[in-house]
Amino acid sequence: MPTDKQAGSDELDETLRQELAEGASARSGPALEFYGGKWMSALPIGLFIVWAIFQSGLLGIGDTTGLSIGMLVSLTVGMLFVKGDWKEYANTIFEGMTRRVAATAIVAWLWAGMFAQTLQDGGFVDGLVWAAQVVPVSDALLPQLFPAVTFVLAALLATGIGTGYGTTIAFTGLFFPAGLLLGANPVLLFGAILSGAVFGDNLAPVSDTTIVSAVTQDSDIGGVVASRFKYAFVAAALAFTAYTIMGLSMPGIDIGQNSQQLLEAQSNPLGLVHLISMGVVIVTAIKGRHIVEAISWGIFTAIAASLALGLASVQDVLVFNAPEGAPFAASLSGLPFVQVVEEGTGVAGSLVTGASGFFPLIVLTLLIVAGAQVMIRGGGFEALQNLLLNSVATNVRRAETTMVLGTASVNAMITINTAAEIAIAPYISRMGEKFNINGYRRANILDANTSALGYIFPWAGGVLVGVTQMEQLAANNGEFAWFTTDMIVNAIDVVPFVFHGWFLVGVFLLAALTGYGREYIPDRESKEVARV
Amino acid sequence: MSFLSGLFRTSTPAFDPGDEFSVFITSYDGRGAVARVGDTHLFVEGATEAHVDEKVRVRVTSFDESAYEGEAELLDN
Repeated sequence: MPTDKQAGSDELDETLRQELAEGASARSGPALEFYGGKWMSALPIGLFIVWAIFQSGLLGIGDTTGLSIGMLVSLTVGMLFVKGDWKEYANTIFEGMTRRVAATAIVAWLWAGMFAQTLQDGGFVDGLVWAAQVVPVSDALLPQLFPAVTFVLAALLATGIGTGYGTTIAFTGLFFPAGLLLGANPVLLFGAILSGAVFGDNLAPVSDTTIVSAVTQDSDIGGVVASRFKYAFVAAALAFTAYTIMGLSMPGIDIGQNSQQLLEAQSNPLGLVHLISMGVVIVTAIKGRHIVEAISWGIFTAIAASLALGLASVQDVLVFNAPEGAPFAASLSGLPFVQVVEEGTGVAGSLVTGASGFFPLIVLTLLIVAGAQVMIRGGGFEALQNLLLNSVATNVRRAETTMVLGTASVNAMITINTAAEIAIAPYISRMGEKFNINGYRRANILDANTSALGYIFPWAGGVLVGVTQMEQLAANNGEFAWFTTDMIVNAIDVVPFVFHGWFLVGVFLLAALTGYGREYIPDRESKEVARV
Repeated sequence: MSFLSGLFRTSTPAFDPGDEFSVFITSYDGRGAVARVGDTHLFVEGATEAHVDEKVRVRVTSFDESAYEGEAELLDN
C-alpha cells in the first residue's frame, strides 16, 4: 500500500506526464500556416504585449478585464493572417484554453484566494499588526525593516507549500495591508512578496517549476534542489540586503491622519491563531499531499478557529442573501448562513470573495495560453529557438547565456511560468546536450529564470495575481475600508523592485560567463532519473 | 585558490587517457563523430552519424591539453 507521500508523488507524476505529453503533441501536431511566415504566429502574443504596455505601462490602468479584451482582440487579428481554413486556428485556441498547465495555476489561485480571504476575515492581519507592534524595534524602524522581513517569511511559506502564486495571494491579502498600516513603502513591500514567491517556486521540491525542470532535463528532483542552493542563496542574500537598504531609504506610506487609531483598532493578538492554519497547510504540503488538499485543510482549520474564538461569524464565511419574495426564503432564514434581504441579494462571504476576485484573471490566463499555443503550432517558438541555437550559441559560454536569455524571452510571452517552462524545456535540453552540459545545471538555468521572470513583467501571472488581490482589498467596505484604490501598486512600478528575481537572473548570467557552478555530463550522473 | 576549485568550471575541461564516462555525440563531420564537452572536442572512434544526439559511453584514449582535443573509443551503443 503506498504511503501518503508516494500517493502524492504518483499523482504528481500523472499530472506532469499529461502536461509534458500535451506540450510535445503541440510541437509535433499539425502546423498552422501564416502569411508572412512562422514569425507571424507570434502576432497575437506580440499585440497583447503592446496592449498591456499601453494600458498598464503608459496609461496606468491595471484592469484585468481590459487585458482580457486585449488578448481577445489580438487573437481575432491574428486569425486574419492565417492561410487556408480558419477552423484550425479556432481549434488551436480551444486546444490552448484547455491545457492542463493553465488549469493548474487557476486551481492554485482559487484555493489560495479562498484561504487568504478566510484568514483576512478571521483577523490574521490584526494579529500581524499586533505582533509587529510588540517586537522590540522602534516605531520608526519597523516599517523600514518590514519589507526585508516579509521577503524572508514569504520565501519560507513558498518553499513550504511549493506555490509562489498561492504565497503571493496570501501575503498580498495579509502582510501587505499590515505593512501599509505600519507605514511601509507599498511598492517595495509588493516587490518583497513577489521575491519570496520567486524563491519558493525556484527552490521548493514540491513546486511545479522545480519538478518540470528536473524531469525535462533527465535529472532527479532531490539532486536538482541540492545543486540549486548555491545560486538561490547568493541571490537571496543580495535581495535581503537590498530590501533592508531600500527600506531605510525609500519613504513609507501615510494612510491618513487617523492612522494611529486604525492601528489600534486593527491590532488583536487572537488573530495570530491563524498561524496554526498556515502551519497546517505547510505541514500537509510537505507530507506530499496535493496543494488543493493542503490548502483545504488550512481553510477548515481557519474557519473552525475563527468561529471558536469569535473572530468571524458563519455569515462572514458564507451567506446566502435571499430576496424577500423567494419561495423558501422565510422558512430557511433560520439557518445561520441564510439571510433575507431587501436589496443586495446574492451569495457572499470569505469563500465567495476569495475565489471570485480571480475570475477575470482566469479568463485572461486561458486566452494567453491560447495565444501561446498559436505560436507553438505556427512554428514561431521553433523559429526563435533555432535562431538562438544555430546562430548565437557557438561556444559553451554563449550557449548558457542564450539559455538564460531564451528562457527570459519565452517568459515574457507566456505569463504562466509552468507553461513557459514546458514550452522551452526541449530547447534547453537540445542546446545543453550539444555542449554536454549536465542535467542538473540545465535544470537550474531553466527553473531559476522561469521562476524569476514569471514574477517580474507587469503582465506576468505572478504579478497580476497580486494586483488582483489588492483590488479585492480596495473593494472591501468593512475592516479594510481605509484601503483605497490609490494604494494599489501599479504592476509596472514594481518591476525594478522584485530584487530576488533580478538577482537570480543576474547570478545565472554571471554563472554562464564565469563557469560558476557549471557541470558537464561526464562530471556526474543523476542518481535516480525521474520516471516520467 | 583551491577552495574554489570545482565551484568555477572551465569552458575547456581536460580528460586523462583511461577516463570512462557517458556523453552525447554532438556532431559528425569530415573528422568523424565529435562529442563536444563545453568547448573541448573528443573525437569518438567507432561512433557513426547515427549516433549524433545519442548518449553513449566512451573511454578516453589520448588527450592534448593545449588544443583542448582528445580521442576516445566507443564502449557501447
